[in-house]
Amino acid sequence: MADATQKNIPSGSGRTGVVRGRVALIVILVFMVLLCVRFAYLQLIDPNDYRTSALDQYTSSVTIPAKRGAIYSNDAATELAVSATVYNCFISPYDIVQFAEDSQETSTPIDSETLLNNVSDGLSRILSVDRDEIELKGQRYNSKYQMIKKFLTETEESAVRTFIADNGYQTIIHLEETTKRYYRYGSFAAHLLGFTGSDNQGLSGLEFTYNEYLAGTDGKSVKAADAYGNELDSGVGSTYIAATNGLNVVTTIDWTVQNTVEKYIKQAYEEHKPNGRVECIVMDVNNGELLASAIYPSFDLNDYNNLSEFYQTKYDEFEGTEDERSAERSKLLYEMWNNTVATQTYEPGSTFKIITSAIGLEEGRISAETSTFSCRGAIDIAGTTIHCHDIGGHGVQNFSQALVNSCNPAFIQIGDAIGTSIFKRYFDEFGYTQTTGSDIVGEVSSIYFATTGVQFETIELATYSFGQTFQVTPLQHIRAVSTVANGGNLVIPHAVKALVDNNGNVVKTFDYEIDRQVISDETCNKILSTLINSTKNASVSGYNVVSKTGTSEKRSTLRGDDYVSSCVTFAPAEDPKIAILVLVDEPTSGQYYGSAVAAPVVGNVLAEVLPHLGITPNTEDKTTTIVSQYVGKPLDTAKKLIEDAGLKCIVRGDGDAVVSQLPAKGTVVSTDGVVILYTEGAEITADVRVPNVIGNSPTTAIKTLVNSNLNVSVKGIFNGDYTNCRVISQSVMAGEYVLPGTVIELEFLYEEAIE
Amino acid sequence: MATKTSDLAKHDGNQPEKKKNVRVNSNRIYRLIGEVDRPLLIVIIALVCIGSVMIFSSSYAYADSKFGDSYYFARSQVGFALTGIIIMAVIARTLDYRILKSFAYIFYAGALVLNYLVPFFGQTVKGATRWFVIFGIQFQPSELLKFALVLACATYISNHSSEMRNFKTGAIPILLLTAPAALATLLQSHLSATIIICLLMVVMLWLSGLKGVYFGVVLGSGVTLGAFVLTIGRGILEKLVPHALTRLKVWENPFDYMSVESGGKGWQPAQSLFAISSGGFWGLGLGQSNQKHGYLPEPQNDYIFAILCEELGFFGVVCVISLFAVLAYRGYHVSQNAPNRFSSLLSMGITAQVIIQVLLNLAVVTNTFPSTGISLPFFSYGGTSLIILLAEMGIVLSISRYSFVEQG
Repeated sequence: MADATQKNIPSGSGRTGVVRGRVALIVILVFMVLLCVRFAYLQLIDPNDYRTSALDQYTSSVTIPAKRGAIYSNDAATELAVSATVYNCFISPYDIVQFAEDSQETSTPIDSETLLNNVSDGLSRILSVDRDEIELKGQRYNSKYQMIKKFLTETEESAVRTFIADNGYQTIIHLEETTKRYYRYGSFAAHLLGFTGSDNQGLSGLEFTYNEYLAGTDGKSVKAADAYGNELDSGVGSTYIAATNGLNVVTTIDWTVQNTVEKYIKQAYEEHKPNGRVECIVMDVNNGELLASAIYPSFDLNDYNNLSEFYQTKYDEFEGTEDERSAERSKLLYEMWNNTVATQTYEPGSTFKIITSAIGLEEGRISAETSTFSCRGAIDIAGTTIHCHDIGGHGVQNFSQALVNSCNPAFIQIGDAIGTSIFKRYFDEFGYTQTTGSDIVGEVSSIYFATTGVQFETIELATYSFGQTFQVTPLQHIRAVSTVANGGNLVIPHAVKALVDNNGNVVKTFDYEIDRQVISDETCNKILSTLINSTKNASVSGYNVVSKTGTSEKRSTLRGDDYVSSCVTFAPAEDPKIAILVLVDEPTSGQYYGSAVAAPVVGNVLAEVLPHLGITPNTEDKTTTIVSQYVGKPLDTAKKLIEDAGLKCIVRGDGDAVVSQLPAKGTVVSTDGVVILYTEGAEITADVRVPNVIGNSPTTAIKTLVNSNLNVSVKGIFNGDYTNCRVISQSVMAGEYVLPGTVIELEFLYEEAIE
Repeated sequence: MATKTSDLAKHDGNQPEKKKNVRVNSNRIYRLIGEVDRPLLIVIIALVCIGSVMIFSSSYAYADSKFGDSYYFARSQVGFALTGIIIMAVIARTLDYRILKSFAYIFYAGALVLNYLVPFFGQTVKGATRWFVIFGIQFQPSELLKFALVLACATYISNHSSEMRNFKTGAIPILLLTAPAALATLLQSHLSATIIICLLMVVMLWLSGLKGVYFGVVLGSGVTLGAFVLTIGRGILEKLVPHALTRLKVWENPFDYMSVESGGKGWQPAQSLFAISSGGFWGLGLGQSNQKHGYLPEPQNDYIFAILCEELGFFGVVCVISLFAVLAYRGYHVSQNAPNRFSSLLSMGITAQVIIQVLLNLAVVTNTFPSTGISLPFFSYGGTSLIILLAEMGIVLSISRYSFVEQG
């Protein structure tokens, strides 16, 4: 040992050893420096990718769904569509196994099959879901998310919560918050409003067009957890971004107008049983706001994925293979949802004569005062004979007569006077060659000479002049003809006017400029004054309205006698506020004239809508009286009062004091109505047999009813004009027994064989 | 650094009057037995302290989730650390390093026997059989083997120092001495121990004074063999040590092997990189690691440094690496001033053994080197290895007490 030491004097390592030891140390230090560089690279120079990956694994993000905005009617008060928070119920089969495993160590062990049985039984009972279906889903033991039922009702939700709490199934059964869209009035303006899918995305109609505003922005909650699922103390990466709820949309739809329209188009549908639809648009002529836009048959927005009754019947009648039936169902669904006021074209027919007139007058090609047109019942144009609806011919007419008569040969002459180039220019000016620029989804373009590729020659000019051989959408047409009502301006129809937040503050308004002025005020007035009250079925007592009806032949069907009956009306005539267009596609009731099929709908709607819109009547209605209180008065006094009111008085019983009266106080009866007074001892019995008055003239019908001691209320009579009209319906069927004095409502139709 | 008033091991020590004990070894040389190398002692204590703190910081979440006791690892490790320090102190104060030389070959033979027995009697953890369990304490014989090899090499080289320059009489005996140790660890599938043993052999050959050309031949053939295995010879590697190839692939892109389906081998290295990068310059703060909460598995073991990186940042990393650098320097210093060839080789060999493990571990946590299961001295959890480590440090400290002064 000592020898070895001595060999290595003076140092333990020797000269070579010193050098080599030093080299070894240097090598070690170099490696340490290199490692420091590596750490610097990872920690300082390029750490972000790994940091992000690390953060990603701590954090899990939960979406906080934004609440979709509501859709309101034009007064921003009536909710048409709202979103509500509801719950989905799902189960975690994975946790069924875990639960079963954990239970083995407790006093109540349970195996996973029994557990699944219990869960399936319970949920099936509460949610009315097929038990086997739940069990099947529950057997997917690797899954943590198996949806059992979406959109639970409140009852179901609380029952599930109780079921979970009672059994301690917190890990197995879960409720997940979501939102569901509710449409307050089901089928109300269904085609226009459209609907929203389960993912809060608007799929059609205004829900689609305004989705970006309605949808809002989902928020998210990010939480950091350790690998065992517990929240990390450091709170790294945790964020909470609140959801931004969607804005509310205020439409231009007037609840009352829309409701009235829907009521009468349904009635017209049932009366005329058209092969197609009944459509109606009501538009503010001055700014293009749509007060109503309705189609019948409609569908329930709350159940948009199922065929409505009408379409279901069609589907049931369809025969074919499974695939064909499924394709048919899809086809019918699209048909059902289709907002055809903007997506389907039709030949406007005689209502287009307003436009032809406007062009002729505006360009000075005809004169409202001096021009005359002759009609021999038919006219020959370039070798084709075109008939007038009056086969005998209208003879020589001035402009007003030609328009009121809706004489085709006369309008062919007006068209000829205008010439093709000017006509084409105005056809474009009136907006028939473009979509309207409205906010209604899926507007289609019109079908006219440019799109079909035909030359616009004499024969086309002739047929276009009375509104046939080209097709436009109802929306394009009401926009074009409304120029006549608003002083010549082409407006842009639209259904939404503003966005408001949840505090009612207006966030954005949609202002639509007038597209352009097409015709002068003077031209407008000439046409308005010509057509004033020209269609009595579309007119309203006490008001003046401007109407033009149309009955266009459908060239698209194989049958030769299919028509679209339509009527366009502006009211009030003095200073038009609204335009209304009604069209009935292929009526099958035997009547097909626009004046008989479409005009009464207009008349009925306007009768209710004009007072609602605050438009005061020109003349006070003197055709009705309100029955006063006579009970308790001495018989003589009462009798005198009744006769002073112009009513007929009938006394039952022989007492001196009135103990009862029919009709009751406040009932509206016609001025030639009847009041029955009862004194002591008189028995009140429904002893009046209602006579049949359908088909009678107004005079006969009213006389018949009053003589039977019944009162009358009339509908469809314009300003007391009894000529040329007949009762088409009575509110109580003939042969029924009613109380004396009962008000029988009679509906009249003028027989106006225009066209 | 503390002033070394009593440290007479300094070769320029000029205060012989303060020496406690002087033995005259020759006419000109005074052999001094003085104080231990104080900077080295301070660095060791500092590393043990930081290591214990990090054991607690890194392990408490894991310990809590696994044993319901946050202090499970920390308590045990602190106990071993205190035991180890006492053992180190006793060795440093009392050991005469010359005794080691007499037992060197017997000790080495004993360590080899233990290592060859491990595959038959050892405890299997995660598919590898590398541990004995004695009285409930896990013990890894390969830890002992590394030290035994250093000791044996130091003994051989010091006994045959004049023959060490030649290949036949220098390199061959050392290679033959090392071969059974390398084989024993290979049989345990303990590749990291094999690598360390080979590197130790290289270090010992270098220090032995082997002619540069021959050293170059040995090192060159080792490097060539390694390069061959990693490139063309992958098929051979796959047959010999199947898991090694997987480790290579995982090393190339750990993120592809994170999922359970892909074997999950990449999870730990990937999480280690996430932890390191999350630290930045100042770190998230002591105790603030997110990765230790179940993301980085067994954060108190081989990958403990990743948690240190995350919590203490680049700043902490540089501090700890600097401590190891000081340890290396003081080890070198002790070796340079060792009283003789044997003690010089032994102290440098032990220092090299520790530093090689440190370098390899840091290379593994940064995915600079494939994951091999090398623990970080003073930091990684493991009672017996810490005690063996501190005992070795005790030997170095003990050697530091023997120094010399050159009499003018």
